[in-house]
Amino acid sequence: MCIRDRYNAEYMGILILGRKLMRKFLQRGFCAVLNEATIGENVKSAKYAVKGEIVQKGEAIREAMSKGKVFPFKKLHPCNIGDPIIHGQKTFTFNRQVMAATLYPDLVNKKTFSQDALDRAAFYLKNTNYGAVGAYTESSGLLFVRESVKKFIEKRDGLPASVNEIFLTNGASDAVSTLLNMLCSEPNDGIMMPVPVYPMYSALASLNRGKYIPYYLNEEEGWSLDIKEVEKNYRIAKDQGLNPKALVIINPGNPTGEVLNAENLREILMFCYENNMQVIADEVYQEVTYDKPFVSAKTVLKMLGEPYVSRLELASLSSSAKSLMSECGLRGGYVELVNWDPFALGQFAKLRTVGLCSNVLGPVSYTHLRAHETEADLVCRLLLEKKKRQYASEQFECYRNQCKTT
Amino acid sequence: MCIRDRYNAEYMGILILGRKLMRKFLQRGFCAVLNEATIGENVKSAKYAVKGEIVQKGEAIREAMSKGKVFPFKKLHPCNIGDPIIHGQKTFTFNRQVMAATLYPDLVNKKTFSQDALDRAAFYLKNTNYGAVGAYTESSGLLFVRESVKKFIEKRDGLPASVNEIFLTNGASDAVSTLLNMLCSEPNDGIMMPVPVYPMYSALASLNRGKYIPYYLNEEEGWSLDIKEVEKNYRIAKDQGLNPKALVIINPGNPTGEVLNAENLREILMFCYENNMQVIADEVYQEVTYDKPFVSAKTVLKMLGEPYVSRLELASLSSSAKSLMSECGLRGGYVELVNWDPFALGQFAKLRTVGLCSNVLGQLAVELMVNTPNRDNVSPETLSLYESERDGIFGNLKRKAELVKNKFNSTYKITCNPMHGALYCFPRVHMTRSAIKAAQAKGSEPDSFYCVEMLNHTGLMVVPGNGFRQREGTYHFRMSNLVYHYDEMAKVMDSINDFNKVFFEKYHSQTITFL
Repeated sequence: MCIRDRYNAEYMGILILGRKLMRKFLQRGFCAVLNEATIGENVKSAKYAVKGEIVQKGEAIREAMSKGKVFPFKKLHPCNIGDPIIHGQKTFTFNRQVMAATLYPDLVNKKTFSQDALDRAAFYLKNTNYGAVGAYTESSGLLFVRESVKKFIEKRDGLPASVNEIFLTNGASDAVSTLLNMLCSEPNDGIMMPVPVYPMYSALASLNRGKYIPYYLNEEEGWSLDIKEVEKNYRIAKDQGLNPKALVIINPGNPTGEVLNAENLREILMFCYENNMQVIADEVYQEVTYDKPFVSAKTVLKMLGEPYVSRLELASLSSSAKSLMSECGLRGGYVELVNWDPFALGQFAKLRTVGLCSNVLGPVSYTHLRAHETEADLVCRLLLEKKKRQYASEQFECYRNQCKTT
Repeated sequence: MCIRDRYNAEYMGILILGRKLMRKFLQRGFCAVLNEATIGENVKSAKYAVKGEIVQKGEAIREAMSKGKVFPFKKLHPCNIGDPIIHGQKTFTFNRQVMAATLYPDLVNKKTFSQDALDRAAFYLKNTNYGAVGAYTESSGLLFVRESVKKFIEKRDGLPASVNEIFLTNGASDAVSTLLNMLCSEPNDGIMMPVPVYPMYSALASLNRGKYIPYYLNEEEGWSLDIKEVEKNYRIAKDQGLNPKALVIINPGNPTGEVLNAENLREILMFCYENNMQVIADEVYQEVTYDKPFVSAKTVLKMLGEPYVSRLELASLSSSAKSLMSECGLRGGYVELVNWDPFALGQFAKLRTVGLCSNVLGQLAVELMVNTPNRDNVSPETLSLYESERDGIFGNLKRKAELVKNKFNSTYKITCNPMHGALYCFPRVHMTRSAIKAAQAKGSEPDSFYCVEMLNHTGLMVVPGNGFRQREGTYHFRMSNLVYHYDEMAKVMDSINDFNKVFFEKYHSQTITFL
């Protein structure tokens, strides 16, 4: 008698229930291979709140509205997720023309699009391995895209970059997944992460059985980063027997909206070097700063000079979802690995081969990072964001004052 | 003094080397956070041979050719990977028109494309949440795509499907990654996988610290699946203290090209149910069968009836990369989870939210794969073009599969089972003792050694069999039938024969054969 039938027999003997109830109970997973008892704690404890309860309740409201139910508001405002397109923001005309023409090359021969867009599409097609998009690419991503990223980084930071240290991924999340997979190898490995933190980091750390070592950002000081706070929590973690392997900085900050200055970054980078930690610099919002300039981690490395500039291990992340082009659904992203041990770099590259390659349109969309249609478009969009943010913070300030007076 | 500086001081005291050498050594990872010592065994032992040594050597040859170096062959043939586009196969006109118009909706207003393509694109745009593609989608994928997948499955299998059990992923690999992440939770958890196996499974199992529990396919019987072999290896694993959680079937087979019949599937499904294992049915090549019909795992579940049809946990995978549309780079795929415990299903759905969603163009590719043009949804002209493109691709593949079988039957030192489906064959090379010795002298596996030599002589890139695992003492390689033109494929086959004559002339001795 197989195991499952034995359970059945025992169950029948215990409960005086009809056959219907018994089947229902069994279907609910009494013997399922994967059930609440057999699923690992690393999976159960991983949480991603961006898509949590509010989303489900919002969906229920949307459905009720579509059926005619009346609410005290006219429409939903999905401000839970960082996706401008769902609010009506348009994509860049140039970008979409190029992508469409790349997908359907016959458009290059027609006069449907601007010549510039057609030229760019023709350039892309010429530089794919076989004159077409649709094939698998190199696992680290199309070479000409990595060359564009390399030039972009060198121009931004004034430090050399290498195409062999740049990997194109399905959004930044994909890169972080591989990073944490490599970093969390022992049970006591930990990743230092800010509080508050973008929950993808805590979820992926949990999934990979890594420990979340928090360092608290200072809300009273505009969510600034206090190095003493980092040092304190580092020591607490070490006392608990944890092994902090890396520290995550999210700059510009998600969810805080803060932008770190060079001094902050300098302290963090030096601290990580001195305590043998990697730095994971989530810089996906680097195009979106309003009144403080974005300073890249690599720029600060350059300022620090030796030994940091050639020894501190840094992973810098970017994404086409969070640039001003806001191509969230296309899942384009990259990670640059700076000063990695060659063996480790090889292992990262190897892990990227297992999924074959990231999707081809994502990285193609990425080369637009520095190819905006006009400067005017860019400025307009930045101003619009700034205006909206100013309005929101004025409203919030007003509300806060109201709260104080009541 | 920080730890790193202390290491520096000790090192200087030990080695009498110049400052330059010391920095070089340190940069090579003496203190790197991630180095050979600190990287976990699960990462180091994960191997994906499809992108291994042959690819790197092929790249080096390509580069040398572009600089004018002359080789004994005119071009490389990348038959190591299942990607028809790189050999010159075209994509479907309808599909690409729809995708371009979806990306740039203004095309819908112009008359550049067929009306059918524009109508389909307009339908897509209407059914996205905000009238545009580019936004994040639901984490399990756009609802209308999942509805199309549901209809496709119901039509194929005659069993109900649910949009809540269908997840759109960045290719099938993405779904397998989440599956194995959930299945391998304890150190002794294992996944039963065929030998030979598509190495993504072994690599992902290793990464997730799961154990590979092999069951050997029967080469002498056309790579068929013998249930006694599965039972035997299951018992061995249990005796070793392992906990087999799931069994992978790849049907049609990669790398073998075999197509399982209903009886095979029936035995496997019953065995898994009786031994409390999930079934992972990799069915990505279901559109590509030449002379045996594809039978889905769910169809067999239906045939088996209760209790299997409502209790056996099954994950069925498909991919736009491996359907006839061959959209490899777009990374479109789906997984259907059948009879999963609701809590487990919820956890799977939760894990899919962490990466937000799979890429939207891949999702549209899946819709185009399951909802193809037919008499009811497009005009005769569009249908005629689509069918001629599809039949051309399939007919070409089928003819070449036949060609490969015939040619290998008369290739020196090679035997090969017929290709019944998918895009690959897994021929066996009957290596001689001296060839094996020569390989060992170079520190190489014999089949890797053979494949590198073949590459250098013929320009043909294949994957050595050791990347897929094989019976001890046997040597194989996986080759695709994707060289585009039939005549060119025939020439490539002849070149293998010519190469073998030269190779085995050089390494002639008594052939080693193992049963």
